[in-house]
Amino acid sequence: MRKGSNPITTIITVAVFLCLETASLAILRSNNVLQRSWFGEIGQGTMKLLWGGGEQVRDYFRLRSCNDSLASENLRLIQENARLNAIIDRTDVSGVAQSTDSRFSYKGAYIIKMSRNRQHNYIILDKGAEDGVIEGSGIITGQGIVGIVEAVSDHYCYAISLLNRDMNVSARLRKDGPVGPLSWNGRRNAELQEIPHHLMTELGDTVYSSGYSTIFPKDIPIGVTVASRLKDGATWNLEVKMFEDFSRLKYVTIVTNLDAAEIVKLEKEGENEQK
Amino acid sequence: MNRSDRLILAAILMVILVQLVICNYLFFGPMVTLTLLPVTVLFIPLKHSIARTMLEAFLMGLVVDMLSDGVLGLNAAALVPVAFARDFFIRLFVGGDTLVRRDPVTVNKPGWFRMIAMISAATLFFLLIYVPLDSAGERSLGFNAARIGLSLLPSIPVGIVIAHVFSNLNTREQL
Repeated sequence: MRKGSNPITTIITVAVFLCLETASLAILRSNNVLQRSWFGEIGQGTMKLLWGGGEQVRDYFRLRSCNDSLASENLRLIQENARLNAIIDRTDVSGVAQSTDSRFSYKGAYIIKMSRNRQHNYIILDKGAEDGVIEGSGIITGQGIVGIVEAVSDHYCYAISLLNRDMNVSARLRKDGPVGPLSWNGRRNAELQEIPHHLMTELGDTVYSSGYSTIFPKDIPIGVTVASRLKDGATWNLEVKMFEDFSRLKYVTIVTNLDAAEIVKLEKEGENEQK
Repeated sequence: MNRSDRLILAAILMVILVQLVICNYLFFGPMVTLTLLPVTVLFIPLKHSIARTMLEAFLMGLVVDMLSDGVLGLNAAALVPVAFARDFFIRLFVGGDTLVRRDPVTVNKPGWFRMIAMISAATLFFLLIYVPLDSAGERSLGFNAARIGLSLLPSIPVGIVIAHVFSNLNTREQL
């Protein structure tokens, strides 16, 4: 194109070029079998590329709904698992199930905000009182315990994370081992404390939630022991490498004990009678 | 149409005739394509707009395709882009002022070195379109590259002769 030529001339020139080149290629295509089949292949390849590319872009934008659907499917499976565990637990020796109800309800939630680099970390989730979340609800994933709900608004809830020096959960070494409090050690791992000295422990043992609280169901895997330390010559403190990678957390499950109020009330009555 | 235009037109028709003779009677094997058309397009008078030059190149290519045993539309498809890029080649190798003043293209201003570079670039551009279109995906990339290289070798000297003829005609017009 000539320098300084006006835009209309440029447009006309490009249009003439396109017309003439298209005409040439059309003549070439219509008069020669070889070129016709080659152009056909190029056309098919281009369409494949465009459609394939479009599909990939659509898939990418569909990821959010796909994740939602997987999260809800995961939730359904957790509920089903809890229900079946309850059946197994309440089955008498004759093998007859007495009840099929689980004490816990489960609800999927997105993490809105989360801190990870403090000594007292917290999480904010997109579910609140209107979704049935109450103070004291637990937060879990398939890989372990995440935190405990401390405050609830209509649409959101605030929870303290397991990565918080103030948080303790009751945990069990192996499924049939001793129980002790588990808390974050302020660095990368958690610490399971007060394991009696006389009990044998192996590094690599899995640590589960004990179920001795109104917050978490039992047998949620938390991590594996990676180191042990004798404390005051009386108990073992076991360092636990957590299964959950908090830096990649996005979806969690809020678990609420449906009998929590009743248990707490009973607990208070018992304490009052003792006084 | 003045005398110099008539001379240029006659020269172009002569080149087309020579190209037809080459296409119909001289066979250099499947690897060599001797072409004079891209150089001829470069010497179409600059007073013709690019759109008109493209139309002339299209007709030139179509005439050669129709009157030779070649693939119909092949020369036209390869020659139209050369005409579209003609001003670019001239600005790059001869100079932008020639384009602005629409002076006839001669060897005198840029010298033979730049002129040969321009002929080579235009011929290479032509062959880069011509050879893949001709092979239509049936030949390997290596074969096409070899064919482009081997076709470029004889086309450049012949192009220099054509450029010399057109340059002389244009110089005469300037005088």
